[in-house]
Amino acid sequence: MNLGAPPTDQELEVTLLGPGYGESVVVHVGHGTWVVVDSLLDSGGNPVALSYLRRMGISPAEAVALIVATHWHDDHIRGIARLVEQCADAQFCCAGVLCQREFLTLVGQLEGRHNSTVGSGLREFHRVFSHLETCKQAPTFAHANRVLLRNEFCSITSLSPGDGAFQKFLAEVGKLIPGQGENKRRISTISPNEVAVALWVECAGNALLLGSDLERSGWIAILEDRARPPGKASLFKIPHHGSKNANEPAVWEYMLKVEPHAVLAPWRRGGRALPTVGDVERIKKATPNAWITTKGLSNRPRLKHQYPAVEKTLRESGSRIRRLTGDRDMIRLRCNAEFTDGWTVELFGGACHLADYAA
Amino acid sequence: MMLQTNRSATVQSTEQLSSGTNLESEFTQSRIEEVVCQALERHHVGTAPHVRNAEEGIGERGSFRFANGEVSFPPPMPPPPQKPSLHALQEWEGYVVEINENDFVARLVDLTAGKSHETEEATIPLDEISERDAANLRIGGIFRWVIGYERSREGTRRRVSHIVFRDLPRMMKGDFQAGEEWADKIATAFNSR
Repeated sequence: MNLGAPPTDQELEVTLLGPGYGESVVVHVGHGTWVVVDSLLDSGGNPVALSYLRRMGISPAEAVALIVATHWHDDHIRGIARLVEQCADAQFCCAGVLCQREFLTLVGQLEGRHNSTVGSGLREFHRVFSHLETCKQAPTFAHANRVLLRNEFCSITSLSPGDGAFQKFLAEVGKLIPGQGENKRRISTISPNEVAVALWVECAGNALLLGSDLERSGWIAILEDRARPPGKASLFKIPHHGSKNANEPAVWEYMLKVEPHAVLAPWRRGGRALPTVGDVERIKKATPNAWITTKGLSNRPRLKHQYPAVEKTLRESGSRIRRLTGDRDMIRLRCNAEFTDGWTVELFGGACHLADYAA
Repeated sequence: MMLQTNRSATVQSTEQLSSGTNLESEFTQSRIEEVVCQALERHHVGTAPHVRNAEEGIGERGSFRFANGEVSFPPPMPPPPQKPSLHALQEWEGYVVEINENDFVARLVDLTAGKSHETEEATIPLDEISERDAANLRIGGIFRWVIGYERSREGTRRRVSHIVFRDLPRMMKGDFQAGEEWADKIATAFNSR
């Protein structure tokens, strides 16, 4: 896949990578400086953000200035430890609540010793924090209205999590640690997701809103916060794969320009998928400029295994297997610093306009 | 021409055998070895290591004779008992992400392909797991799934699919202590910077 030339020093770029399991956002904030928000792995087990930058001839070790882990769900965190290890000059940022004693204890107790091949978000955090400690570094803690990065071209501010979400999250974390004598288990999620980090990226009067997986209560807290950055964004990374539990109409009214560009990555687990037909209709009503990273998860070709006997066994048992990874599904938007020509949209792999998405 | 054994073995003739000449002079050692071993294998005695080597077998130990076109064999023996074995064609490690009324959803790491991260998602009917494993079916439960051929003690082969849930280690006092020490170390390091 030809990705073309990297953006010029004066161009802003936002690329959403998301094949249907997980998402990662790569942002060029001018002058060859990049920010990576969340991580997922490609079929070769490499963070897609690293592969993307390298394919454009960019060295992540030198170019990435900030890595943000917006939350610890599996579909946003896989490979982030490798990103941190390979981007030596980058500052790592996560919600401050993830460095609280309660969460660190959970990570240490469950992931201090590896018990299986399968990884988890907790294991990623164990690896990241251990690496930072060895390198004598510390994370930047995201919370409402904290500037995470500022250069002559751009500034990036975290809008969440607010204080209200902290205690609730820590109370939930305490319940996840198995008691003495109980079996360890793999823990992947706490719902609802109220401690995700939403980001506001501002560049010469043009702004982007990267919604992470922040759910409605988190958006209400942002809207009620008078200290949040002023202005309206021209580009919205729609939160939580377009689900209605992350939709707050006031965000469209007060934080976004009319008919903004909007991008999202779908999600599927078993028979459940996001966005639903209803979600797609709602987003299309909000803006005609919405794009999604894949045409439809149900249209994917079934995974074929090497041995016919394996295929036959799966068929006879009624088991169904689908591929999770896809290396080429992404949406890339670029604009110049003054935003005089608006956004240029490029689609790669299965990415399409939301109107063409088969929910 | 067929070589008749004095018991029950029948060995298909070869060009050399059909020439009718002195077998012992014209039959090369390697050819003898090949023919005898084929016949022995047919009688389930060739699998024993000591008769794989024709030099050892011919006449010297008296286990069979070879003269005038006749090959003598010991009486046929029953097949040796085999250990049951499993030849895996495909192997995954998986974890459960969703449990439904009739099936469960799991993310899979393809161990056969040497992967170390999830690349597939499976929806598996609950019928596929044993009663014992059904008790271990829970969100986050980790299992090994093997599809392959199982060979029984009697030598019969059948295609199988085995899903076996693993019990992760129990939380012990040392785990709590080690986790807290790690948390202390990290929190102290981060707060001092």
